[in-house]
Amino acid sequence: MLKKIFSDNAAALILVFVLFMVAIPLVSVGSTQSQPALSGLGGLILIVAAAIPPARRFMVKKEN
Amino acid sequence: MELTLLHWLLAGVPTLALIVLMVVRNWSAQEAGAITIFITAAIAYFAFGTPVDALLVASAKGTWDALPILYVIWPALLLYHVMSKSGGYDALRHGISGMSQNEIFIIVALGWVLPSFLQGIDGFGTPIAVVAPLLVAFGVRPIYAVAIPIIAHIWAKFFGTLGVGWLATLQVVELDAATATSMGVQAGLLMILQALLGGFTIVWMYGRWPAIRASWPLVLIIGLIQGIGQTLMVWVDPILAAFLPATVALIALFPLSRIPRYRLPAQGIEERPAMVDGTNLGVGEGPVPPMGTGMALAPYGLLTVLALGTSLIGPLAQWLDGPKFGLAFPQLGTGMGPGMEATSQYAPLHPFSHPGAVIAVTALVAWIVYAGRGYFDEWSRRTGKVREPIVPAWIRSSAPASVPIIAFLIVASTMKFSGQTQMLALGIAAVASPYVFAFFANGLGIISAFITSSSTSAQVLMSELQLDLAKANGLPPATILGAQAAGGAIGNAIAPANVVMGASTAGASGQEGAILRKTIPWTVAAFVLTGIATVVLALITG
Repeated sequence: MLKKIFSDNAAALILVFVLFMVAIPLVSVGSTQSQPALSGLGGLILIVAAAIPPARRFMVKKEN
Repeated sequence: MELTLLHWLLAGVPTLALIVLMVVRNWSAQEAGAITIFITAAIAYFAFGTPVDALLVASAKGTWDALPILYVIWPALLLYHVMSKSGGYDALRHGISGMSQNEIFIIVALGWVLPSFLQGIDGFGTPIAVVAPLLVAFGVRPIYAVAIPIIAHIWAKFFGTLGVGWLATLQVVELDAATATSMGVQAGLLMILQALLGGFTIVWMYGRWPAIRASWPLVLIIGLIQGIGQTLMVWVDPILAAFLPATVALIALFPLSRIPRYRLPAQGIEERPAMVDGTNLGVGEGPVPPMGTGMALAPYGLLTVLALGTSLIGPLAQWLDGPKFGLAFPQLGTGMGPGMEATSQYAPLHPFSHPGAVIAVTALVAWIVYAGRGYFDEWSRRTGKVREPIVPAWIRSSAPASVPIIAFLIVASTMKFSGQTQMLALGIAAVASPYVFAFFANGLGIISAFITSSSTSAQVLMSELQLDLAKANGLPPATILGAQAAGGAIGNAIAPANVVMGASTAGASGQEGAILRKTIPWTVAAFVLTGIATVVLALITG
């Protein structure tokens, strides 16, 4: 499933978009209500979202 | 903030990385933007001492900052799919080519005058998102279809969207009335250069020097109506300074289209690099669209009426502006940066008064009306293509266009809060003598607009610093702030979010680097001319 999403450019970027949208309320609530676990989770999601496009570049290129 | 060479050089790395990856290495905007997030964050953490919690909040704020732009892109792409799948663009092509057979006139009308008019009332990239697919429908190559409206509407950025750049500047710097007016007038004078340079550039893009020879009076008339009109309007009402001359230029097209020189095809233009080979306005080409020109133009008429009504009818504008929402963020230290203040609603989004709402209503109404009249089925039958559902196509084009914009604004937010943006500006000011600084003042505006992809954000980010630097260098503040306003507008020509937005609606996603290669030379020329003009203004008014 994940591999299928990763190999489809539009699907991968839709996933990245959703991850960004999920991350911001987590960081907001976590940082304002002193819940580091929540903002940490938001941060992790942000990192994963930002890592997907460059990772795809190298992985898809390698496969090609 | 202490200025050091190492910090200054490091602060320039994210901008340089974006340019090199996109323009030189041909990375897509998504890839370049995303990797630059990590580069900027690493510099902020290791060199500028920004704590991890502040980096997280800066990234979240950057993502939030992208929403007003995405709120234009998503409805604009819905309108694009509705028009495209109903044969609307082909109907427009047939209709407008009946008004004038002159391709230069069409390029000037659709690529320059129309986006300038839209910029007068709307913003956030609306003119690019709306006009780029129209130009593609007329046979303009997608890369040029994005570059042309981007360059052509720059002159209206600062006073456009009903004076939003002007208002933002007055919010962040304290100026007496005379200095404010002087700043506005000098900004207007500098923007005459943008109007004329923009007009001549798009004509040159279309057909090189023969096209300029054939159309220079047209470019001068439109450019002077826009540029001089805007400067004069600053004295009357800065809020309408871009909108009114843009409207006059639009109206002027009708008498101009009656002149044989602009009604009949231009002669002697053999090289047309902006046009798809063999295209000649598409007259008589392809299947007959299922709707007439009036029906195809109706969404744009509705867009204009809604935009004007929701902006100019005071009580309605006030009522629509009421509902808003934003996220809360805490007070945080940011290392060498300016720090973050606690807020219960960061940069609240006004969902009903934002230009995106007008485009969304327009797209939905067009969708309902066209579906009711059976245009989608009829156009599918006439073209022999299977009718593609709108919603999946819309999502598959909108989400990819959204990702790089989010990435760029995370980079901008991280640079701002970590102090990298301020360090860049301080470094330029430190190495320049007063008049050299006056020359480079618009360059700071360009950099800030490039980083934030917004002329308004560029004003908010840099105006106060420019004012301080002007005073420290003994330069007239009104001139330097005028140059900042001009630069903040020029920078939009290379602002990645604008390029991505246009590319997504013109079917040129992934070709952002190629588009930037078309707009960068114009940006450099505008920077140099504006720099020279700023020095002249500083000598006159100083």
